[in-house]
Amino acid sequence: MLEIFQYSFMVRAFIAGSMIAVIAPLIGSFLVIRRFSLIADTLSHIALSGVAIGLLTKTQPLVTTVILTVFASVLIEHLRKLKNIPSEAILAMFLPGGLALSIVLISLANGINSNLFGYLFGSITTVRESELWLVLILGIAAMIVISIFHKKLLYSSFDEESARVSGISVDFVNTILLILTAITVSLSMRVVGILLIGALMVIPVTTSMQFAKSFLQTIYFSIGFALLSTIIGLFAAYYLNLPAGGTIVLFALSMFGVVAIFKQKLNGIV
Amino acid sequence: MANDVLVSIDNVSFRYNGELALDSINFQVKKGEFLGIIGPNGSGKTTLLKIILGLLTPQTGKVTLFGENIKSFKQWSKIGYVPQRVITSFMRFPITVEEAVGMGRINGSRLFDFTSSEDREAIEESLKAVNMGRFKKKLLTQLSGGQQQRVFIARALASNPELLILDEPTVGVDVDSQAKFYQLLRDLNKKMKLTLILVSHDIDVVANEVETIACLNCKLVCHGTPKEVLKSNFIESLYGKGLKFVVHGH
Repeated sequence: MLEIFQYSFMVRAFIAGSMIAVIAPLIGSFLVIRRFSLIADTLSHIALSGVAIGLLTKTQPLVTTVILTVFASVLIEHLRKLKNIPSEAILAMFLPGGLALSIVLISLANGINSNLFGYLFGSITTVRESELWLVLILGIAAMIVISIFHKKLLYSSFDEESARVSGISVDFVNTILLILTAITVSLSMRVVGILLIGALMVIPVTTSMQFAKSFLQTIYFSIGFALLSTIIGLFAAYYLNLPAGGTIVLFALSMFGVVAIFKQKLNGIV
Repeated sequence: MANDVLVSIDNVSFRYNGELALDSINFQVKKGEFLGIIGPNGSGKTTLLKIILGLLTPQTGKVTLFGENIKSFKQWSKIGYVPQRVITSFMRFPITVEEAVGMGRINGSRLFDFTSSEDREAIEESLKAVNMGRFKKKLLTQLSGGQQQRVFIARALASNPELLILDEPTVGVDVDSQAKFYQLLRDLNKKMKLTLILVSHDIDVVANEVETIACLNCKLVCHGTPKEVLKSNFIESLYGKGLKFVVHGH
């Protein structure tokens, strides 16, 4: 069974997948608590434009995607701060906006190619060594930032007004969270694909919420669920010849289903 | 300025989109005072509170906290804030009483968010002060409305504040819990020597709990002890005729 690790591309896939499985739900927990889960999907559609720019300009797409999504995340936070437009409406503007820009850019690049499909639906087994290093460095940086700011992030997410009163620079903390989300979305696109990133940031968190007894437990369990779905998903993808991104997300969804049914049975609802 | 003045509001006016919400407000809150700010809906109570908390900046006038202009004031841990009940969909999220109270230890001046033994001690002490020590490991969702409000008071107390500001804290809390809640506020004021500012639209309750009342209706309509304020005709002009109040001691 462990012959899978004889292939260096699979070793890279497991390392990159595991790193994403740790940071995606870590950041997702703060997004879910502030009812901002759809930001991941919005940024992923903007990420598609970043990939298109990369392919069009023959630049490493991960770099162009990180730059574009970080810029968009700062802009979204700025608009949210103005409070003239409801948060969900801002996301509803940026999501099709990102898609529209990518459609135009892709058409300029003479249509879709197999490279782009790899970003859309994930292509974890083709992760190059340079990309792996980028995933590892940015992933570790994201974990360090979260560990420094996790309480300010929790307070700002839970009760923004009181957090401001205690002297926390809520706008700064919110911007950090969105920048981290943008970086995670960009890093995850090779693993699960642009269209499926939101799933890995949200599903393990909602699964964990079914039975966690504290915020800290929610984070730990959600990382556990994300790691489990990624590892099982990669094994299944390799041995059953399935697309890795879709398989990982389907396993994550199955875990949510099993846990939710089990919880309802415990509560005597089913 | 005398050392015993914690909050000083000098000629403060505020407009929302050009519409006057507060007009030339002047008053002071002294150390150890229990002040109730009352007024009908839309009278500017919450606006005034947000100005005192530094969440809004008045177009004219000056706010002084602990003898320092609010513009340069940094010692926010001296002020505890209990907002209107934080009962929203966040509450579906698993957060324990301990985690919620621990938020009160976080402030802008701390760079790293690690929990120290001093933090743990302060969390224990504030939970004990509101009689919620045994609920430490419970989820907020498992508590009643009254218990949740006690947790939010504990959170405000966790930074060892000298001034506690409460915004309509008993909205949606049942009558029995409200009585216990006000008893707790009296204890905090008398035993822990905390200065309290309570904002409420419920004049009947406030009149029986606080020692000073400020009536607001865009302007400061009256300011004095409950007896002085209720004797005046200002309350009728604020709330309409036919209201009867019974002020009693505790």
